[in-house]
Amino acid sequence: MSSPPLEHGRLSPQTRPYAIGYMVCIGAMGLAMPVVAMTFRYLHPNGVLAALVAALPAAPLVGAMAFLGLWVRAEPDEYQRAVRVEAMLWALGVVFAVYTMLGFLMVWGPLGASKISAGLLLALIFPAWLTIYSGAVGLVRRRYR
Amino acid sequence: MKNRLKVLRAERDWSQADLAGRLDVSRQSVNAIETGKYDPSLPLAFRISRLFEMPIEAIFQDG
Repeated sequence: MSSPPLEHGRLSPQTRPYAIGYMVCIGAMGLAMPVVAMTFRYLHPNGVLAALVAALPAAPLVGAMAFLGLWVRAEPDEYQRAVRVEAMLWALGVVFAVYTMLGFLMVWGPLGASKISAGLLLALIFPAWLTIYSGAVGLVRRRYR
Repeated sequence: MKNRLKVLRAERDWSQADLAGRLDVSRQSVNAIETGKYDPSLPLAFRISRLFEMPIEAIFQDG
């Protein structure tokens, strides 16, 4: 008995709920980030309130990673699973390498006096990983073609 | 790992999409296995072997 083939652009029924959850979390994080930035800029929260406000984009981030993990675990196609895991590792490697390099350059190197804020870089670490991961999925697929 | 998947598929006049549907995987999986760039797991190799009614070693060759 044959079923329609799974295509990489189409989600399998097993992974669809997790993919939707993942995308909702990414969307929530995308909304929370500017809200938090504006809150800190104009309302200057302190103490526990500051921590709570800062946690606003972090909560959907945790959700996104959890949904991504469930998505990979539920993926029935082992090749697609391998591609996703490989892309995640590539993205981690690139982010770690770039952030390590920037860290040294900013603390002891020529970027020390630059206007690049270490805090801003840290706040953007997940979007950076996400962007590289999304690109890496396509590159890894191409390598297997 | 080398394999005869492309030949066996062609003998049955199946497209990659047909085979993917029969194995419940993506067409990209079939393509990656056929080109030898991705080695299937043992469970998938058994599924392929059952589908073609041949032993695994008649489909996949080491090296």
